[in-house]
Parts: sequence; structure tokens; C-alpha cells
Amino acid sequence: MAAGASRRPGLPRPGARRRGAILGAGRWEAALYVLPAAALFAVFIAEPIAANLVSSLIGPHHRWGLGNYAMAAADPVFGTAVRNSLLWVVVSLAFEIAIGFALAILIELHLPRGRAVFRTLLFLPMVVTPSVIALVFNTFYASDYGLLYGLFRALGLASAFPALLGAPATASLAIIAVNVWQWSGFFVLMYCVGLSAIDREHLDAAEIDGARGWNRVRHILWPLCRGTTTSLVVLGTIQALQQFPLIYLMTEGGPADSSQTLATYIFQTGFVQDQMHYASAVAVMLFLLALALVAVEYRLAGGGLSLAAKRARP
Amino acid sequence: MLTNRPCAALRRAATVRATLRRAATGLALLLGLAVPTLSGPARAAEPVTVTLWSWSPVAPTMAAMVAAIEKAHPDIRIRATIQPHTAYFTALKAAAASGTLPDIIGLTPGNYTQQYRPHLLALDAMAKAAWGAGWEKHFAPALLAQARLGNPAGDTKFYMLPMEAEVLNLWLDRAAFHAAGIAKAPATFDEMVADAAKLRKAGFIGMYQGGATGVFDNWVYMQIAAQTDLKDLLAAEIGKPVWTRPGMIAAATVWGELFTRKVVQDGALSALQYPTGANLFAVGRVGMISLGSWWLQETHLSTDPKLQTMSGYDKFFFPALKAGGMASAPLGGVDVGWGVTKTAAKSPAEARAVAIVLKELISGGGEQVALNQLNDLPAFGGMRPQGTLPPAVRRLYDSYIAELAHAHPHQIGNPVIYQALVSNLQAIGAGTKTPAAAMAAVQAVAEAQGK
Repeated sequence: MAAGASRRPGLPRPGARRRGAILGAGRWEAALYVLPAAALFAVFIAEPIAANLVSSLIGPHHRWGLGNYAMAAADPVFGTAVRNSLLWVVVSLAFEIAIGFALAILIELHLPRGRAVFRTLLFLPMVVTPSVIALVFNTFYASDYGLLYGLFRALGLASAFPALLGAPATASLAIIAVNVWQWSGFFVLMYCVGLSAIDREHLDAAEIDGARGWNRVRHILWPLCRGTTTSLVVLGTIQALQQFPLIYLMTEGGPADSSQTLATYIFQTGFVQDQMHYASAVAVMLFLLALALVAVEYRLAGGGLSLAAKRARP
Repeated sequence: MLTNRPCAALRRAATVRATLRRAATGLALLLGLAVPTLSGPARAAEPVTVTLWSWSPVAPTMAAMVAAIEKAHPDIRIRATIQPHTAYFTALKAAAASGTLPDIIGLTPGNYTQQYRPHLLALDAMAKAAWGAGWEKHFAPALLAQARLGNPAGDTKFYMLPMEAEVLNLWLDRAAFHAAGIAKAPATFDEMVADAAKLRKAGFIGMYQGGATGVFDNWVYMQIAAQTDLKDLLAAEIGKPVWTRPGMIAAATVWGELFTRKVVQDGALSALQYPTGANLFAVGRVGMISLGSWWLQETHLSTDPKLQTMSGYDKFFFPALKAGGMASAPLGGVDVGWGVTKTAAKSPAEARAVAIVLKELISGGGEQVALNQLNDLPAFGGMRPQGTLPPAVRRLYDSYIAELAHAHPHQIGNPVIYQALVSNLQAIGAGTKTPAAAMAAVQAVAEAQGK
């Protein structure tokens, strides 16, 4: 049934009513309600973004223009930071969605009891502060005295122990693994919400039609959780792009800038190298990258942000 | 009559209210007269608050310094905030941008002092008032030269004054050396390589390098370069693009050999010098580590007798690269100094209090407390730790003081060159760049900065 057909005759159309409220007698009242939020947005979000944009246009030797952007284009560390930022988004999301969805199915559909306990346990890493996580995993990965090294030594493989954080090829992936460990619980929880909102009748009907196991996951559960997935992809993208504490505390963007992302590079150029205008330009590019990625993801997913599962039409 | 009652009651109430109003007005007037009389002397006795931020000295030492200064000057209150190095300089940047800098800030010479110079007062007049004409003679010339590192041409003013100085060196753990069958500190680089292997075999970390802590990468490289090409190293520190000179590349090659010949531990590039390295060294897991004179502060910070007396430790400079050669010349200079921000000149009373605190921090009760806790070496001449020091501590302290007198500067003034050096040294350590290519990259950055 079309949405418009459900409207009772005589009731004003929702759009018309809203226009009337804004343009009519309630205009000033409406503006008054919006004003506090608009003022906060203007002061704390719009103005800093505008100020940052202006700052990014002050190039080397205080010349106005796109000098900082040109400098970034020729800066190999900036290139590494962009590549790593994209790596963070792709790898983090792939693992977090896979782990989150799989564990949520296990908890919601296959655990007879104790779901709340498992959800809570999986969510616990989310409430631990990143500085503690960084210290713990630094020790976990450490050669000579680390937990992982101890495991290798116990297995007689000490000489084959890989210095994951100390090698440019693996440093980023080693930190991403920590991020996945921390955030997967959140993905599990959101997928649990999504799965629990699926009408039991659909699952029963699918079972009668022979959809079991992998087929049920692929053709029933996954499509019905599309809204949840879209939301998580957007949230996960933003989280991965803005990740700073884990990287900074575990490697400071090293070794040799190999784990530098745009977020850490903004800090390094602005606060360590005292190139605040260049840092502003990097921040603008991070903003544009986040905007572009989210727009692409949103479009690919066909819109529809929701944490609850999509309801199938009867 | 009954109808009049409420009116009478209302009248009575009105009369009472009027009386109360008059009484309140009178009381307010009385209080108004009395308040200035009462608060006048109280305000005069109210201490002036001086705000101070730094990363050094460590918080317990700073708390003791503040207590000593406040005791000597009851009319001054010091609100000191000590934060870890990175957090401190991040907070400082935000405070400078928002105009909320404290009165006194801890600074290192060169890069950081120059970053905040627009917010700092020239301290020459304050120094003259504190220590008299010719006040410069109280500080070693090298320290004063460092304090002005990076000033614009022609600007000879001091925007920071040194409080403490440091000497860089390598430390060794005697027990670890003994357990590995090593009798003395390595005299040559080859001996150092051999000692690291023996230590590793005995279950220790040969030489711990916190490669993720950039400043210690630079400092180890600079200690090597002090041997291969001291002249160019000193030129490079003040921004000259001389990184591709043979001696500088030779130092980078030796730096690389620390990794390829397994002198430093596996995974060194992901390790932190603080807290991990210092802690591992303190608990006896490390044979050698690059630290400096400030390690003596463990005599007061630790409860371990081995650290309290320093009997289990010794220091040495980077060993000779060739047999028969000399170890590296000592590098060192200002550890921490103080700058006074323009916000400190809000009133004559505050300016006076800030001047007193600055003097106390550098040459008075504050510095004496820091010195008694062996926080580092004094920048102000003639100051010595009070009380009896354990013999090993006394020996180490005295040798540091002697070395400081002829130590060469250890700071790279330009932050962009500094970061380029960190990154490229890590690339050498990781094996992704040759020493020549890495130094060429640093050279390119230095040349670009010079334009």
C-alpha cells in the first residue's frame, strides 16, 4: 500500500503542515526552538571547520593559496597516511562486520541461554580506555618479554617471532587488529539488535521453504540486516578514519612513518613539527575523504540508516 | 469589626514589612561600610597565585619544590601542573592559541622556546634584578648559548633561562654484565656487539632501544655522529644542510649496524624508552640502555637499594668505532628551562611574585630541592646537592658535572628536520632505506627548510 493512501481524508499533508508552521504564525517560535542547537552548531562545528579551511590556505612563508595542498601532493608521508587511512577503513570494517555478524548469529539464534552475559563480555573492550589498551597490546606484541613472544618461545619458535609493531610492513595491520578486537563487540551488539528485530515468522517461513544454514544467512538474515550494516559501515568508517590514540600510543606513526594515518599526521605536523597551516590542510583532506567515503557507502547501500533489521513486506 | 480585622492585619503586616525593609537596608549599609574595612587587610594578606606548567621535574619533585618556595614566601601560592612530555606540549599549544597560558612554562631550548617566543617576556631585566649585573657568569656559556638557540638574527635576548642541564650517555647494569661474564664497559663498537650477544645469551636484552620514542633514536645517532663528524653534527643542529657529509652517513651506517648486528633488541622500533625501557632496566632485564644524567633521580624515586645507591650501575659513552680510538665526546646541555609568559605581567604584584618564583626555581630553594633529589644537573653555578650521597652516586654526579663543562649541544633546533631524522633513522633500522638514502632524505628536508 502506498504511503499516501493511508492518509485519512481531511488531514493536512505533513509537508504542508510543516511549511505552514515555519512560514506562518509559529515561525518565530520555531526559530527560537532551533536557535540554541543552531548556535552551538555554529560556534563549535561550523566556525572551527571554516577557521580550519581558512588556516589551510595560508601556505609556506604566509602566502595565501593552495600551497599546503601542493605540498601534500608532493609529500610521501602524506601519501602513506592516505593509504593507511584507507587500509584502516577496509580491513577494520571487513573484520568487524564479519566477526560482529557471525557472533551475533551465534548468540541470538543458537544460544539457548546466557545471551546477555556474552553480549556484555564482548562489549567490555569498548569501555576500556585506549591508552590502557595500547599499553597492554604493546606489551603483548613486544619481543623478548611480550606475551606473544612467550607463546612462540614455549613452542620453540622464538627465533621466528615477528616484531609486528617494529616492522613497517606489519605495524599498521598489528594496530588494526587491536582496533578490531576493541570494536567487534559493538558490532556484535548492533547486529544482535538487528537480528532480534527480525520477525520470527520470516525465519520459520524460510525454514519451511528449505532455507537453512548458509542459505539462511545469505538470503534471509544478511538482507534483513542491511540497515544495520549500512549504519555500522558509516560509523565504522568514521571511527577508523579518526583513530588516533591507539596508533599514537603504540607506534607514534612509526616505524619510519609506516603506520601514519591522516589523523596522526595532523597531530605530527601541527603539534610536533609546528606546521599548523599544513596540518589544517591535511585535516581538510581527511574531512573530504570521510565525506566521500560515507557518501559512496550510503549510495551503494541504497540509503536507509537503521540499527533494527529491515522489515520484510507481508 | 470583623470586616476590619483583615485590614488591620494587613496594615500590621505592611508595618512589619516596612520595618523589616528599613532594618535590612540599615544592615546592608552597615555591611557595605564594614565589608571594605574587614576585607581590606584580608585582601592584603591574600597570597598571589603563580601558575606554572611543565613536564619536568617529575611531579613528586615539583611538589616538594613548590612546598619549599611557598614556605619561604608565604605571600605566594604556586599552582603547578606537571604532565607527560607530549601531553604537556600539546596543552601548551592549545593554551597559547586560546590566550590561556600560565605565568611560567617549562621549555627546552631551540624549537620549543622559539615556538612560544611571541608569547614570552624577555628575561634579561628579570635576571639582572635577580642575580645582579653580569648575571650571565652564573651559567655555563654553552647553556646560555643553547637558551638563545634559534633567536632571529640580531635578537640577543633570553626568552628562557636554564634550570637544569643533562649529559647523554649509555648506562650498564653491572649484575647483567657479571651474569653474562663481561668484566667492564665495552671500549670499542665491536666489543659492544660482542657484549650484546653475550647478554642476550644470558637471557638479557643486550642494548634496549625505545625506537618508537624518536628523541632517543636521534640522541643515539648524535652520540655516534659526535665521533664520526662532530663539526658537521653541530652545524646540522643549527639547521645547516650537511646531512650527506661522509661522517654523517658513517654515523647512520653504525646506527643501522645496531640493528643488523643485533646490538639492540628485536622489535626495537616499536619499543618505548619510557616507561618500558627505563622500567626494564630498573628491574634488571637490560644490559645497556641510552639514557643520561637524569637517571640519577632514581636514587630518590626508587625503593630498590641497588638503585638508591647506584652501586649496580655504571655509565659510559658510545664506544670507539675503531680499535684504539676514543669514545664519543659527551653531548648535553639544557634539560629544562623556564620561560615567563606575557600573561604574567597582569599586575605589579603578580610580576613581582613571578620574578621571585623564577629565581627560586633556578638558583633558590626550589632548585635546591630538585638537586637534593638528583633530578638532574644544576644550570646555575655553585649549586650542589646537600647531604651525604652514596659513594657511587657521588662519583657519577661529579663526573657528570665535569663532563657538562665541555659537553657539546644535543638539540636539533628545527622540528621538521628533527622529525625527518627520526623517521629516516627508523627506516634504516627497519632496513627500508640505506644509510645514504636516508641521510639524503634528511638533507632534502633540511635544504627545503633553509629556503
